[in-house]
Amino acid sequence: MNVMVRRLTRLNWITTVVIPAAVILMEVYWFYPWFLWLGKTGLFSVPRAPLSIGGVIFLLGGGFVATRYLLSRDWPLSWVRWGIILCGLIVVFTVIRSEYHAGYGLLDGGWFGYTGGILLDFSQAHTLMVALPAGAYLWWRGIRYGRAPMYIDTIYRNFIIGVISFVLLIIVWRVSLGAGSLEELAATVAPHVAAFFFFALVSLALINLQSIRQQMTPEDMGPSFNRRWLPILIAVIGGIVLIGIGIASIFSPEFLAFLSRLLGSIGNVVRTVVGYILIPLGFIAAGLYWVMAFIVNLIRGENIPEFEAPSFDFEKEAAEATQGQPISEVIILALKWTFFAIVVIAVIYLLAKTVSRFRASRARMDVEEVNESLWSWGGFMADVRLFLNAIWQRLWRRKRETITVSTAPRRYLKEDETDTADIRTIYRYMLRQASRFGMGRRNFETPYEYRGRLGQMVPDSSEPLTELTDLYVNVRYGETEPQRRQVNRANSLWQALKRLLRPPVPSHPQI
Amino acid sequence: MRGSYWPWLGGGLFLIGVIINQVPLMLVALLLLLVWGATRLWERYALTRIEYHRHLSAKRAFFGEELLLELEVANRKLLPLPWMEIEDEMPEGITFLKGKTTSSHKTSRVHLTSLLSLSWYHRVKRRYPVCCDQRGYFIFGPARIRSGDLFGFSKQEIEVSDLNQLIVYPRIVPIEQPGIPSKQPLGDILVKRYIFQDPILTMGVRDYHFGDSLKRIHWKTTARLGKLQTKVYEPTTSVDMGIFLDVRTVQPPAWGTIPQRLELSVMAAASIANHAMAAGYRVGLYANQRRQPIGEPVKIPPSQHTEQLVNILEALAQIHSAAESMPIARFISLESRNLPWGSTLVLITAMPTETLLATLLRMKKAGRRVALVLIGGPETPSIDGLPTYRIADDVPWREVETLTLQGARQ
Repeated sequence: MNVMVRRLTRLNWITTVVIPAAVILMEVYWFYPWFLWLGKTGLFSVPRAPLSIGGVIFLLGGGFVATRYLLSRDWPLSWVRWGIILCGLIVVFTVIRSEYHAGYGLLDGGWFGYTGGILLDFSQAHTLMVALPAGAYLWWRGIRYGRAPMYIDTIYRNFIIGVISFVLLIIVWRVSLGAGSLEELAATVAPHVAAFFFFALVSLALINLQSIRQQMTPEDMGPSFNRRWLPILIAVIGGIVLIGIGIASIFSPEFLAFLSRLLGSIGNVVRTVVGYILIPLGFIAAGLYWVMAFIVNLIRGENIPEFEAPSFDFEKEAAEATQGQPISEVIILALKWTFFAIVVIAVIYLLAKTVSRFRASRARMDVEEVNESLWSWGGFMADVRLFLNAIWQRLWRRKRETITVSTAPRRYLKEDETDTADIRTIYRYMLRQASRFGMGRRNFETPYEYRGRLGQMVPDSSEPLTELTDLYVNVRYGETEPQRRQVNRANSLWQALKRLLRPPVPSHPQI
Repeated sequence: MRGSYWPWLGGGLFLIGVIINQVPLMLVALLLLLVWGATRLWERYALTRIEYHRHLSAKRAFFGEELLLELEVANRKLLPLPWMEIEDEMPEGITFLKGKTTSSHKTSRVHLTSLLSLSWYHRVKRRYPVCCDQRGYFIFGPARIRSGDLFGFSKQEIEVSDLNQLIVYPRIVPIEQPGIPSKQPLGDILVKRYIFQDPILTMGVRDYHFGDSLKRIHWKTTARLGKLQTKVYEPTTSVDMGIFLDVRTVQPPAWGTIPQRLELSVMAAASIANHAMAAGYRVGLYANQRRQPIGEPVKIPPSQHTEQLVNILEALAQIHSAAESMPIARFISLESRNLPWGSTLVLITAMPTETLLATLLRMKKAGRRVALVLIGGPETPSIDGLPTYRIADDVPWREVETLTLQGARQ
């Protein structure tokens, strides 16, 4: 027991459990819609997906867990290899046996004959013919994830593969099933797209954070770090997915209707759960009411009232609410699996947090950390105003620049457009550009004095400004003929300065 | 940056999705665009309106003192930062009692790294207790701040070049002189007590007497009373002492430093200065090295100002392991000219070369008061007429409780 607790306390839960779970779910959600499509093509004698979503999770997860576990043993590589193959055979068999049981008992040998008959019957295609190689492929993908640590590059590549796979699936779906299947396509594939993006982004974010954390010692991480990044992660990714769904639903009434039904179903489930939680509370409240009434009536000498059990008709309400067009069973199944996975991950995470409180390393004195909120409505509103003002100024300035340029003398425009203006001309351009933004050179200022003042007003301009001023002074007062490379240099400096010379106000919006 | 092609891909897919009315395709495109937009938002604004401050509870500390280093970072904007890495450069000589430092590619520097997660309008302060268990002039900073988007697509970095300085004074320990025949360890200078008047310290005024210098007349009081008044100064009995510290710890022409000897030398200089100032000397300090980081020579003329000991300790804190600016024999010859004739020259060295001894003897013969303090060595050498003392270097300098000046048998 102690050994197990010690192992659990030393376990990095995010790396060992949460990230693999998210990655496997990402894989599941781009792979499974292909099975759904296969089931709808009519190519097979039985219109069903070759494997259920549970089977896909089991095969991928099983491959991953078996590989990780066997590789962690101190066994020869050949044993590990054979172990993984053996486990694979058992798991694939178990999944196929449970999904294609055809009414046979678990130990009924007739199932083998039935299955063999299906596989050898080439006159009609059966989904089992796809399920077997697909099962082996999924096991192999699980092995691929399990045999090496998960790197951000690997996950990113698989994410892109998933995106491409969805694009291909949509094209293939439309081509093979026709335009009539659009509503079904939207209702079937879109939730998988949303779930795929959610888990892919969670995986990428977690691996990114984990790779940053791995470079740190535990002391480097503030106590608030672990507490704060998870809500940000969930809020940002959840927000992205929800906004995406919201915008997409604008373009499709069918998808919007589907979403409203989906949300209604989720709301009913929540209402049912809350209702069940409220039953005991309702009984307690009714009991208390009855006791009080009993005492009052006893004092008054009146009849003792009968206890009335509270009625809970939320199930009926939920059933009424779900009437109408039913949601696809596939979606409900996917939702259930997702919900189950999230609950499992949450439970594991909470357990891990509880166990980690007892870690020996916790005994050490942490660095004192103070967290303060700087939030104020005044500050927030000021930021919003600043942001809007910056956007307005940016738009207004662009407009003004356009007008100014269009009304500028032709000679000026022509010269400015060339890349080989001489140094004195370039300096004149700079003076004009600066004077347009109220930073022109004053009559009494020397080029060096002006350089100092302008350098202070325009951030990051000191270096090119100094160089250009030196070149100008040499040419203007030194009476020397500039070399070709100096002219080229002055032109390139002007190109750099042109971008920097802006009005002396914050030009970018503040978020 | 990863995902740089996403806007094109997303835009293309979205257009196709709209044309063929494919909601899943539009959803894929929208999600790609949203993720790209979110990463761009962080790429552009992650490090704007970020404030970083470093604060030390004191700018000067005594050896062994504990201080508090506070790092403060604030995110004054609406965009939360899921992660922010702060890599602050710290001096190796400061011991962190909590928190861990990692090695740096720069010599004598370490990194203190913090990983934080900041919400909108949020400030985090981290406090590290540090122990000053090595004298020196320490610089904290600069710091590098990194942050980026949630998914690791892009990363930004800025450098905060603000620096904090800390001076840790050298150890000061009591001085003992067992078996020294002379009453005063550093010469016989206190026997002759000269009475001077300090023109800076005015004690009061008195009526003018014939012969008083016009420079001593207090004109304001004279004007008020209508008769001449003369300032009366406080008498002083201070005598000057110049402590000369030789930073060479290895036999010339070799280069390098023996830290034990250098630290003992510095400790001896600080302790002697402290001891002498308590005994009424006006003490100055001279070392044949330039201060870091400003490169000033260590030359503090004798004074009895209240800040003088602090100035000497600060200068001693900045003695480092680099080579000397000139040989001590030449240095003492040059600098002793600026000291009053009656002052005592105390030389602390771990490498008494023949040239140095000859210089000291020549000064002694010329009538100057000279004392030699040797760091280490087998026994105190007897040098003709030169008061010589030795401080043993067999105990690590951190464990030395008292400095014993072992005098030579004359």
